[in-house]
Amino acid sequence: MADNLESIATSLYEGDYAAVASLVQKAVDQGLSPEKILQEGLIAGMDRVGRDFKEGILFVPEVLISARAMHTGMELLRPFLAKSGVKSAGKCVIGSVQGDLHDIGKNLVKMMLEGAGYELIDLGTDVKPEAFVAAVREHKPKLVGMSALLTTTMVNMKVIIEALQAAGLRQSTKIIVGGAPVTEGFARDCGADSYASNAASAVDVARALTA
Amino acid sequence: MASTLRLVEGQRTDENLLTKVHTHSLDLLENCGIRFHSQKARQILQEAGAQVSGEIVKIPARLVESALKKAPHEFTLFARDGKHDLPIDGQHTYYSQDGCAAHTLDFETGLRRQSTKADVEKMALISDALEAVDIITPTVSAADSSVAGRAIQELEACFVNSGKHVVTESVTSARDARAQIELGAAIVGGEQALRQKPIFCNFVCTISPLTQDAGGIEAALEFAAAGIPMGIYPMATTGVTSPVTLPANLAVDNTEVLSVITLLQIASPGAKLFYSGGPATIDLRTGAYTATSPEAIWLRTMVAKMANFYELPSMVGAGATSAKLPGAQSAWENALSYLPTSMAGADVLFGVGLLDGSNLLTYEQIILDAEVAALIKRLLAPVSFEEEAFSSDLIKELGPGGVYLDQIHTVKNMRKALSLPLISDRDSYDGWADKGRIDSVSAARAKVKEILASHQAPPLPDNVHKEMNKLVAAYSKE
Repeated sequence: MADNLESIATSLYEGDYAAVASLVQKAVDQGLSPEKILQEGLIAGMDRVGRDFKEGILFVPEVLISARAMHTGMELLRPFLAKSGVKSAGKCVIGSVQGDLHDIGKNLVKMMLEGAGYELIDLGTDVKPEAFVAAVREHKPKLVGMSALLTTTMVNMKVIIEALQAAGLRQSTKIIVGGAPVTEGFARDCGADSYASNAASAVDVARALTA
Repeated sequence: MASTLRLVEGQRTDENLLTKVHTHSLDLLENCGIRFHSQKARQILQEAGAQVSGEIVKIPARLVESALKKAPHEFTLFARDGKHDLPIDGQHTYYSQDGCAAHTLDFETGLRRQSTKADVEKMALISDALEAVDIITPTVSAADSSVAGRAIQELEACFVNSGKHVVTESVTSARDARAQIELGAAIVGGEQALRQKPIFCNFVCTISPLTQDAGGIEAALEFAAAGIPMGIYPMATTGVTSPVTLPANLAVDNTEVLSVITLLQIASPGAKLFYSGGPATIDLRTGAYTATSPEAIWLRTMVAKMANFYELPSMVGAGATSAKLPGAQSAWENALSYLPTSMAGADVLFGVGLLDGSNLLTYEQIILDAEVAALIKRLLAPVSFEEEAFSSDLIKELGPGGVYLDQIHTVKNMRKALSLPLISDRDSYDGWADKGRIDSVSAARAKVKEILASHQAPPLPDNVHKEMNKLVAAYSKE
């Protein structure tokens, strides 16, 4: 049994998502508790990935492929987790702000957060304030992530935060902002809760905010 | 008769390889297509015979080939002062400031802060004074201007503080393009005069892979219609927005450029276009955008070669060091980037003065980069092999053991024959020590102070100033 969990972690580390899927299925069939599979299989593997990434042993594309394997495993496991009352790390609404079509960074953050066990609601690009407000109202996320690449669009982060305020939703969620022109100072000024300078640190920031 | 180290000729050996890039691009254009967010652009291409499905436009090879035939091989970038006109004739590599960063390392405090219009003004003034910098650009975003007025105010800051040609970027709507056209027209005496004598040009960034932003493309259509030269500037990044293998990156870049050349030559036949690009790589450890890795420099050199292949003028991204401070890394990375791109025959290099992958301005870096630019220009300048350049009579006259230091011939020819650096130290050890043991970044800093204290841009007539102010005010209203 423990071997099976170890194999899940190893396969996840190696980014072999087909193996992760079949091993998770096997573990469920064997009657292992979903929470144990999650903690000692998937998250244990992802933590190893995170550690080796920080050490410079793994490179960004390898981390993303592992994150995708994590996502595959989670999709399989989610119904069982729900049935046994285990909650995800939390919901996160994410999008590139109004006027901005750039979404590579946003997509990386999304994959990393999914890898860390968050449930992502991706609003895509060029997302208007009303769309953020509606999504927060509907999904009640723990986190909202906003991304911008242009100095002309980053100002819309403030507009969105004000819209959440006006809708009475600002206090219900934590807001992280990011993107090339965004800085810690800008994040503070626009009323966000935090700022992440890259996709890997977004996970640490998210965990700190939702702890 | 002149000899040059420029290796434009060397590209003939690559002809077959470059043809492969072209062939792959035609295949991608026809069988994968480009996402054009602009409905107007889709309609123009569709009416010309492209296949449109949703936002995806598939462009047949014949449209591309006929567009390439319409694009001029040479044109001139004019300067408002009339002294710095730049013939784009395949014989020169001009250096442009880099753009468009969002941050500045403050000259006084040394701390990073958001960039301002004052930074644009000062950088234009500094570059106006530097002989090696040929073209001005809003190096940073005037983030303290209203969003509505930013495009016109950044261009205004360049025109007021420099007499040289200006290239604008990040123009994201037809309205902002119009604002810049009207501002340029106010200086040269109307839009017809501007068409004859474009004192600024623009480049439009594609969104790699294979996507064209609506606003940027509609601005490009507006510029092309007004006779403003345009560059088409993809920045595919290996392993992120293109496959990680280098030829694939080239093919993606090339496909994006060809799609916009086709659009603009259909809409405005004969439009003056630069084949452009600033492809890059990622750092595998962090994913960071990297413009000065050997692979990125190779890609950028190939952009110049692709432009030669199509016999189109080129504006190539260069420089954009990853260093966060001016110093050894910023100097070696940018120097290493400028040299092969210049040798490959790029007409314009876009990339003087920024750090942190074009995201951070320091005033000192522009001096370091201008120094390298001057050295490379001199290195690649044609050297005359005319008979008199051999000075045979003088050699015979002085004979073996002769000394040339006190000869009239030396005095007459020395300023042309030998160049002097801007800040590089060539002193004796004692001379250097006596002057305070100055390192290169401190020397650059002193040069910045000197220019800011003493240099004045060629003035604009009062009535032009008034007209410009009116336009700026009108376009700056939210």
